This record gives sequence, structure tokens and C-alpha cells, in this order.
Amino acid sequence: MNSVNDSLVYERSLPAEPVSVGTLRRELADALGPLGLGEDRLADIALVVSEALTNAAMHAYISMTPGSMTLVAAVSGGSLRVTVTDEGRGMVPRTDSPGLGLGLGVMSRLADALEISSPGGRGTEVSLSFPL
Amino acid sequence: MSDYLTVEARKHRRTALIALRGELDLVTVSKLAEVMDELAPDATGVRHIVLDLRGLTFMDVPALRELIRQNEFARSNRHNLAVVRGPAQVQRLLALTGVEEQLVLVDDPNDLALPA
Repeated sequence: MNSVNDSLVYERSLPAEPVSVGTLRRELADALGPLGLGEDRLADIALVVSEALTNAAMHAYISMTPGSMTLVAAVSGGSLRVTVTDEGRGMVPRTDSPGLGLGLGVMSRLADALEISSPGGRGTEVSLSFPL
Repeated sequence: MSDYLTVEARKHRRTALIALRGELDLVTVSKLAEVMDELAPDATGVRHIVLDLRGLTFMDVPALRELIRQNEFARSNRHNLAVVRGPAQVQRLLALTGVEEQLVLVDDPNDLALPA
């Protein structure tokens, strides 16, 4: 969750489906342009955010009515804070994913901080932080 | 949405060169899978596949999984798959996940001395 001291850079909700992942990733990259981040840092952010969005698009609404996913990015102090939220089934152990853990490993290694929670037991919120 | 990825495949005798341009992600990767599966390498047809990643501007984890799948298929099917190194973001993903250790990587397709 962003605080009142955060400076909002980007916010958008789209249906949680694969085609939305690229749209949100590209729009976020455009929105981050004015921050003057290096090419490598921008690439890391795009990859990590893409993975969080992919998880929401592929797994959040299994066996329930499809919903949306929301991407928010804000500058807070010396960090870029990014959250990906959905209103799906929350964190459920999965055994159906080949390469389980590959994406989570990439996210945790490239982000400065990574938190995954299920606020109120509904949906999933992935909070990421990157140094500026 | 596969407009974000261009897959150019060329065949010369028993070698297929597949050059990618654009974004290889969970949506566009099906285009690559389709082209590679259609090659159907076997003992009498295509035996060598060169996958050129130099034109990519983005690659994600689902795309990486497809690369792993194709590499495992090449091993079990006993055909050759070589990957031409991509830009820094792509190489970083391969390195972070340890996948680069599993692949035959080259800097340039011309580095490969392939039999006809």
C-alpha cells in the first residue's frame, strides 16, 4: 500500500489475462522514462513486474469469475515501489506449474524487496521495491 | 498480439536458422513454439537448429521455459540446438536462472561449423 508521501508514477487496472501483461509492462516502462533510470535497471523492473503480472493473469482467477489486476508504481524516498494486486483466490499451493520457483527466484533476486500477501484472505498483493 | 514478435525461419539443407525480433513473452512465445515444432527435426530432415536471440528487446520467464523445453527436446530427440546470445537483459535472465549452463551458446551463427 502506498503512503501519502509517495509520488504516483503509474496506476492502471486491466482484465487479468495474458494480453494485459505486455500492455501494462510497456506502459509502465514509458511512465518510468522521466525518472532517468539506467537501461539495466529498467530491464530488471520490466522483467520482475512482468512475472508478477503473469502470475496474476495465469493463476489468480482459476475456478472463479475472471477479474482484474492492478499495477501501481510510486516513488517513495529513494525507492520505486511497485504493487501488483488482484482479487482472485489468494495464495494457493500449486503443483501444476512446470519450473515452479523459477519466476519467484528471478523476482527475489532482481528486486530490492519482495513481499507477497493476501490482505484479508482475498486476492494477492505483490509488493516490490527497487532502488533509484 | 504476436505483432510484438517477428519470427523469421530459414532452412538450408539440414540446418534451420530462426531469428527473433521484438518481445518474447507469455503471449508471443506460442509463435516461436509453433515454428520450432513445425520443423519436426528427425534423422532424415532438419538436424541443426540455430535460434538467434540478438534481435530481442525483452524475454520473460514463460519464454525461458519454452527455451528449456526446446533444449530438452533437442537432447532427447538427438538433434542440435544452438542459441545465439541475445542482448544484456536476455543474457542476464539466462545467467540468473542458470539456464545458460544448459545451452549451447554462441555469439554469431557464423561461429558454428555445421555440416550440410
